[in-house]
Amino acid sequence: MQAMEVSRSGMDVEWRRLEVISSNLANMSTVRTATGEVYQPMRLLSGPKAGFAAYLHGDRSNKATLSGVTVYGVEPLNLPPKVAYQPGDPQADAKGFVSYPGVDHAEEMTLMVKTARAYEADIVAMNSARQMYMKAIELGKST
Amino acid sequence: MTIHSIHAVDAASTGSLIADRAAQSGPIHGSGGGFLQMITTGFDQVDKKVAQADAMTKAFALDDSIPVHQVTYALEQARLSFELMMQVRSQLMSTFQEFQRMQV
Repeated sequence: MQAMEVSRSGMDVEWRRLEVISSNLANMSTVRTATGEVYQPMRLLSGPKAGFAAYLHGDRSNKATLSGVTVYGVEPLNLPPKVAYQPGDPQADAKGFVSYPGVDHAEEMTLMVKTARAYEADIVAMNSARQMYMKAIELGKST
Repeated sequence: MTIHSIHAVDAASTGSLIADRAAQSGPIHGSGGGFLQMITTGFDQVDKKVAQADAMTKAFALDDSIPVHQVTYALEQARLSFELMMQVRSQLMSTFQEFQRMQV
């Protein structure tokens, strides 16, 4: 059942990644956030669940390396805002410039498709593990 | 999933097991200890899985803050454990019936 656990952790992470991408797309034109600054596009960081210490001290067989994937955190992307000259805009600064978040539309969409595909792949892997388990149960079945 | 693993039984231990049973001179029931306990803990774990799936479904129905796949995963886990339990049960039953049909 380890395989199904690993697939599930992958699905958890991809789900969270999609949430972050949705947030970026939804805030495409958020000029001002609660802190008064322009919205900063985010990225989800993920990696193996077993930390370096576990890898160093634990046995390097199943448990340490096959523990699935986990979310490390959500970090802002270091992208400069897109500055537009719109003197009539109520959000414009003293010089008439409005700063829009530097969200790259195409990049976000590409990442979204990638995330959806990874999620699907996790489901396929999980179904495969499930089928193997079911077949193993059938092993003892008297026909 | 950690259903108590069923250890491989070699011929020697099977022999001693049968000898034990013969010594007790009666059908399999509560006095057995080890084997019965193994079965019971297995059943308990299946019960826990089902209860967990139930709780997940309730939580999802109340507010969808947990992702859907976690609910379906819990349900699937519960189903698989249950399936395994039923399989073990039917194997036990068929073995028992086999014994009952035995000519004395």
